[in-house]
Amino acid sequence: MPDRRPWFRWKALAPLALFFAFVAVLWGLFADSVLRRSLQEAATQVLGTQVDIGWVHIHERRAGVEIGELAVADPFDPTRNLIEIDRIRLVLDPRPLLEKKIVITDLAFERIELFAAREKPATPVEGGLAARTSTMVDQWRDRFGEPFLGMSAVDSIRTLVLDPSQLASVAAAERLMRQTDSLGVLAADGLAALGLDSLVAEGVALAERVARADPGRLGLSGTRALVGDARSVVNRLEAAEEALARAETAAMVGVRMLTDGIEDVERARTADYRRAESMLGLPDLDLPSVGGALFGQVSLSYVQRAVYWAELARRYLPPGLRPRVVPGPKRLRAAGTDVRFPKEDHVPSFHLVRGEASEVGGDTAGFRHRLTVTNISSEPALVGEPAIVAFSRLTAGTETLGLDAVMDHTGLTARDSLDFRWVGVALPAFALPGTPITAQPGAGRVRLAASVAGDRFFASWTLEAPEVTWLVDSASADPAAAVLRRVLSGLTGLHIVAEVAGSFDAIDEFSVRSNVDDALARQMKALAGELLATGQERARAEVDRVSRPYLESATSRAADESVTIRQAVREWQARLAEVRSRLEEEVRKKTGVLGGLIGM
Amino acid sequence: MLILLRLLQSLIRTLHSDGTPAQVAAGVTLGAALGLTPLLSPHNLVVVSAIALLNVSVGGAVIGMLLFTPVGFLLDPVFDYVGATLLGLPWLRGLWTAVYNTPILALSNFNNTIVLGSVVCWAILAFPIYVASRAGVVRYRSTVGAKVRNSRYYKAIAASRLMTVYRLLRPE
Repeated sequence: MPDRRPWFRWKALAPLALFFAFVAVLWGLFADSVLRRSLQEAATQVLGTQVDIGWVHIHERRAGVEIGELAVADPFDPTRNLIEIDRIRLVLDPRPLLEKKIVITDLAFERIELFAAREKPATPVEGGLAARTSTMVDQWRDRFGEPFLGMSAVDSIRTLVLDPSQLASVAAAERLMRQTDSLGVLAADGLAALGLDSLVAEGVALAERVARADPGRLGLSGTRALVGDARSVVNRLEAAEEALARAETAAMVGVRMLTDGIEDVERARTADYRRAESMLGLPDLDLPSVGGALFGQVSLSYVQRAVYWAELARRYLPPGLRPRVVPGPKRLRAAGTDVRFPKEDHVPSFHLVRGEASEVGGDTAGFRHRLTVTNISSEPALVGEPAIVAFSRLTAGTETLGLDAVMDHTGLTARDSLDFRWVGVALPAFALPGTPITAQPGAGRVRLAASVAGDRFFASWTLEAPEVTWLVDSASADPAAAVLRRVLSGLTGLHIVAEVAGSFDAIDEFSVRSNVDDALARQMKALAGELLATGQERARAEVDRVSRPYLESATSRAADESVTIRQAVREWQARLAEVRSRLEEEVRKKTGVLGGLIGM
Repeated sequence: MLILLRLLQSLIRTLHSDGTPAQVAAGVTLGAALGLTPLLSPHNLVVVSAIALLNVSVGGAVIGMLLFTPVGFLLDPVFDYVGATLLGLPWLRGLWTAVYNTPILALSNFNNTIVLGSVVCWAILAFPIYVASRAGVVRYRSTVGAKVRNSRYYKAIAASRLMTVYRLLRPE
């Protein structure tokens, strides 16, 4: 009998409706706090620094969201907030929400506070963008920001003991010896391969045979055969001479390599001198080194911020329309990854069309903030216009803080530019590394300009502090500190210019110049001149002691081998020419007897 | 405690008498979708609606969900691999791009490797799950079912008044 049970259970409609109503009630009760937590987590993850959100309110009917008490911790200073905003009002375009896309058509801010102190230090985000940027810039510091004053070493030079494995010149000498041996073997093999010995012997023997030959007895045909043999050997001798010329050219290339190798050894020895000096702790008092050592750290700490924002833009505003993989949402199960499939003529996953804030605040300061943000998008190619962020803070009508950033990621190559200005405000103090001195720039001007094209970036940072003061730890007994203090006390202002160029993986150039460099280098050289000279002499002597046997052996062998090869080639050239001319002479004599019947 | 007791009753009744083996198996298969795929995904609203509206065993669905939830956790790396492979296939890019940019469909989260991978794996496993669970229910009822029914524990649970609550959603 067929089963006549119905397919549908209509009486479950009511419980199902109740279930959906229950879900809707849950949404009404918890959506705000769920969204607040999600936004907080996502923003913390994206920015790589702690982001706190006090409250969130969703206005379902108006497709709007309000965010309150937003605080973004300074990525590089956990004790303060980069920005605090009392209230943000977002107006969303409702249609893209059905595609799980967020298009913010209008954004308004209320009360913005910059660099306010935090009650509790921010928790660092492990593996976050700020941490990664810090690691990257720390590597630059290691490479470029060498401590300036190893001057404590100047008044008591340590003993230096080197071994051959530490010296580049020894390695270069050993390399040169190997090259010399190889070249010697190659030259000998090359000459042997030409078979010159047997050819010369054959030529000599034939010349004697021709000399002894009697054309009358040999007859015309016998003489003709002998001359033919002679002609063949002469041709082979000429060919051998040409081959020898080619071998000489090749050998000369090798000889030039040996000459270059000798120069390399010399260069390596100079580098070894420097290395040995640094092992003794002797400072480099060349002008670029002084500027970099004194102000490299503070310069990099500002440049680091530009790199952070550029990296942020590079990561979250990717150029092009290729599918993009991002981490999936956090949940109890594995998050997986989300793949975004942008499509031409469609809206991007995220697009902030325009945001604006203008406020007048400060009871006594009388400042005015103005912030404009346009076209921030997760798929800039779909927007087709560059993203722009402009912020200014006017105090008594004068700009004291300004930021202009343009991020053009609409093409295949991302191009960013940033201009940050900080004028007439008390600039933070910074310590001069390796010295007991702290600079207090006071009211001054800082400017940071950066530009990015693809993976390449350039950043320049300038600081002008007309009324700088220097705080010195008087407990320091370092003689160099006294000189430094004397030099600095004569300066009424401080001017630093730092420039960085390179890729995000490694910087190629980092230079720092300041008005302190020249005066300080001269004074330091005068102070430390004699001790430095002694230290340098000792370092060089130790390098020479260890490397000399290797260097002398290698360079003399290389020179000898060059001479040997040249001599061998010349000797063979001479012998070949001699045998050929003798053979030709003998043949000429015999053919002359025959009255030109047989020609050479 | 109340909920647990009710759940236990419903499961026991499901295995012993409520619904045909096919209804229980269909319930298990739909419940497996809730267990194998991330629960808070939009497609599971459709699955829940199907469990409620189709004449399948709700108890079977609960059994399926309970059985397959740990399996889902274990198989997440497999789902991730399957999802990533499918989303990366060049000849399917047009489909995913269309899904990603179509209202409502875009809410499905099928651009997530775990969601897509688990849904596809469930779809592939649905028929084997249905066949295996149907055979399992038949075998259970014909072998150990009678013994369990006569045990005093079963009688104690089945006699509870709470059992009546369950009858509302019992298969017809």
